[in-house]
Amino acid sequence: MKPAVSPPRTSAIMVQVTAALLPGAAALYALFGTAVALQLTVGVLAAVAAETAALALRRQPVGQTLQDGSAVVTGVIVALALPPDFPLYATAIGVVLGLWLGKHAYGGLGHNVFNPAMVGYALLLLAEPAAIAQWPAPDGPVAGWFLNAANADAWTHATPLAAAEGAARAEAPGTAVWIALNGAFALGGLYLTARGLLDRRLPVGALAGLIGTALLIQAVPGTDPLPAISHIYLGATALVIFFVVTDPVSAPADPRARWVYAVGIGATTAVIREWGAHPDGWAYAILIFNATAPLLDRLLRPGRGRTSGRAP
Amino acid sequence: MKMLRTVKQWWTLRPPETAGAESPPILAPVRPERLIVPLTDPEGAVWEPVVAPGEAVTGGQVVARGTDPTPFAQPPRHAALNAVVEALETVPAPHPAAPGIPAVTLRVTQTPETIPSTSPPDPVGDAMPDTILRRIHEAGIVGLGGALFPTALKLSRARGCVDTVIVNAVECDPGLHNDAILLEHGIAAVLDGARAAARATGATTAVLAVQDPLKARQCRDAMRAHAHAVASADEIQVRTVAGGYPEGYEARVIEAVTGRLRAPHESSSECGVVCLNAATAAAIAGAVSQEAPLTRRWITVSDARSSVHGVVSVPLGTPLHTLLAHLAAPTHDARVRVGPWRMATSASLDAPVLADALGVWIDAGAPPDEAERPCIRCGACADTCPVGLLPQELLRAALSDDDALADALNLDHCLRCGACDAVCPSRIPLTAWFRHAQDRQAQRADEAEAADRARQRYEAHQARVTRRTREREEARRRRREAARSDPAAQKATVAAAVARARARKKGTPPS
Repeated sequence: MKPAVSPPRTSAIMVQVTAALLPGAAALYALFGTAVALQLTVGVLAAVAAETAALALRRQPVGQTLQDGSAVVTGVIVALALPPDFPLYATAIGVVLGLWLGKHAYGGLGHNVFNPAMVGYALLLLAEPAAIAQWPAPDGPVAGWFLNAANADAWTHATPLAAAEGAARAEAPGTAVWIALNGAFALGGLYLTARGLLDRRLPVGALAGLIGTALLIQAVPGTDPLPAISHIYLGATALVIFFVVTDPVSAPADPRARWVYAVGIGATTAVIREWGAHPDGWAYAILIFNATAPLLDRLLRPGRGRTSGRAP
Repeated sequence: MKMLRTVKQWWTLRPPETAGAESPPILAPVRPERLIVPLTDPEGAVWEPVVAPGEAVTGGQVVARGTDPTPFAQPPRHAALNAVVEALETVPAPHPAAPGIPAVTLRVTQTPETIPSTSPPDPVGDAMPDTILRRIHEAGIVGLGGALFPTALKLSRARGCVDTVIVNAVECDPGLHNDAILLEHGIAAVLDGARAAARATGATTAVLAVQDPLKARQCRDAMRAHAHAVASADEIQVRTVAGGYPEGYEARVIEAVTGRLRAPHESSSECGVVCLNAATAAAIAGAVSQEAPLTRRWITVSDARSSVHGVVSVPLGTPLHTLLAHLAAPTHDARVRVGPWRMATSASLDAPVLADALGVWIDAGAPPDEAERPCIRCGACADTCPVGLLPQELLRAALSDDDALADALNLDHCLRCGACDAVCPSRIPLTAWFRHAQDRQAQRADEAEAADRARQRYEAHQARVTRRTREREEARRRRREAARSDPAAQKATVAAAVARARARKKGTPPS
């Protein structure tokens, strides 16, 4: 008869987030083979090592804090976002620097301004722009389902976004591969959404911002952009909108500020994809809006004497 | 419409609804051997005892009267049962950390209880508003929803400026069942009380607000069944207030019933409503029709470790340990908290159970040992906050002592309902921090006010000194000028002075 309101614990949330990444990881493995498993192993080990070292240096309770699982999530996201044949040492460096510079430098979980996974990824993007833009040809167990020998060649040495930007924007090679990958990540994301473990405003806002801006770009005369709809399944869209944009720590707190934040990230990504030097734009878009989150909170917070949401 | 609501719930993620569907059993009433009648209240008001040690008192007799001359500000306090006054002494305060409080202690005598009924039952419909208010005051009735605000004072302030009386029978907390029991067993009194309150305030509408359609139907049936006792049941509407913690929160009930929004810190009568707890309404009925004082109340008791769970009628002033012994609830190695579930505070076992004890919660030994983790700003608290605050931001303000930020985030609107604690995945005791921050803010406001008063006194003093100096200067100047402007007078003055000097030399006083 006691009131039984028992919310999930932080650690439970992180376990579920990791579990929700599994379909995407499995799809990557199916397409690219053991390289993906290696990336994941290195990412997780590097994350645990970096977290342990940082906690020990900061004289924090290591076991208890490690349990919250946020470091593992960071490692997994970085590992999944990188091309499977990316140098493993570089993956480890990205994860370690992401956690140290992105999280512990600010005082640990809950105090970081930037998303640690995106800090790590952005550092690698700066350090190894060529390697990060080149995905290998799928050679995993089921790669044959999607590619024949001919377009496997076309695929090599270019992400579909880069490929789509370059040679005749017709049918980008491997579109089916990317649809499958994004679909798998979206599956995990929808699971989290159904469990109520993420703020629905964030993925919805980011997707709306992305597609809306892509449509606007299409309407600009003289441009020859990607079809707006293809933004949904190209690049890291599903992974990012469900697992990175939804990171509550680096997002604003106010509901209205969260809308602006999410739409802004989507819009900026579309702009970077169209006119930027990088093939995909999520990482920088997220870091830019991470930086504006406190300002958005300040500007959009309801004024003195008024409260947001429901009337009292 | 229903789909829209479902979508909205899905979107905002309300915490699971937990209010019990069935009422728990009514436990045997407590028969304490001693009663404690405190002579102060948490606000610092003082009551003067009107009985002496050794004196016999009957149940319902006044033992202490208020010292505040404001009408209705301090309702008298009564002996709940027949008893002999034992002593005027210091007893432990309800909160274990607080210093003791002065009180009248009574030894209950075994003579059968008699509630003095000086006058025959008096139909509520005939009483004049002034009579109603006086009887409510004399019966010692205070708000039984936990606020303990004097009911007569509330109604007298609302008089003439409200059109609706709402009787709030929505349990204010998951786990409480006092209102359910009251509706089941005393609905006639609740309705009579509502009618009396409407008469006293001049309100034209009376509404009984209940939690769910099932209860609403039960109430309507009961009203029909009591049609002979209840003069005109149809003059009181029954309305359902959709759940969502904290259900019984007054502003939410008012909005659900009348559609009027009450701003925080606005009093309910400013939006034309006076809101009474159902138990208060029942007490009003007793006071108005039979001049029966408030001597007992329903309390929900819950023991997390055993099967003790139910609602019990407790004479006010019963020591907590007596109640626990009566329930056969083991008290060693237990935390006992008194109040609404979420706002309940640890209680001293020797302290009396008073009118604000909505529930008694007995929890297993140590508090649940769950490590607090850092805030991950997930926003669950903001989504669940009934007044739409941003608890995670408020926490930052509270932790960093930032009064300005806390103010900007409307800390003063926080009800301390604890909904945010309940949904926090990091198990942060948010409400405890907000309570702390609110207390500190109040303390700073007090200090600022004291400093302000001191400054005003100093400034007034300075102004007085300056004014007197200026007046003296002015008078001197006037005398000088008067002398200068009239030579004859000047000569006369000099002559007079010379005459005085001569007279002094001769030793004779000047004439």
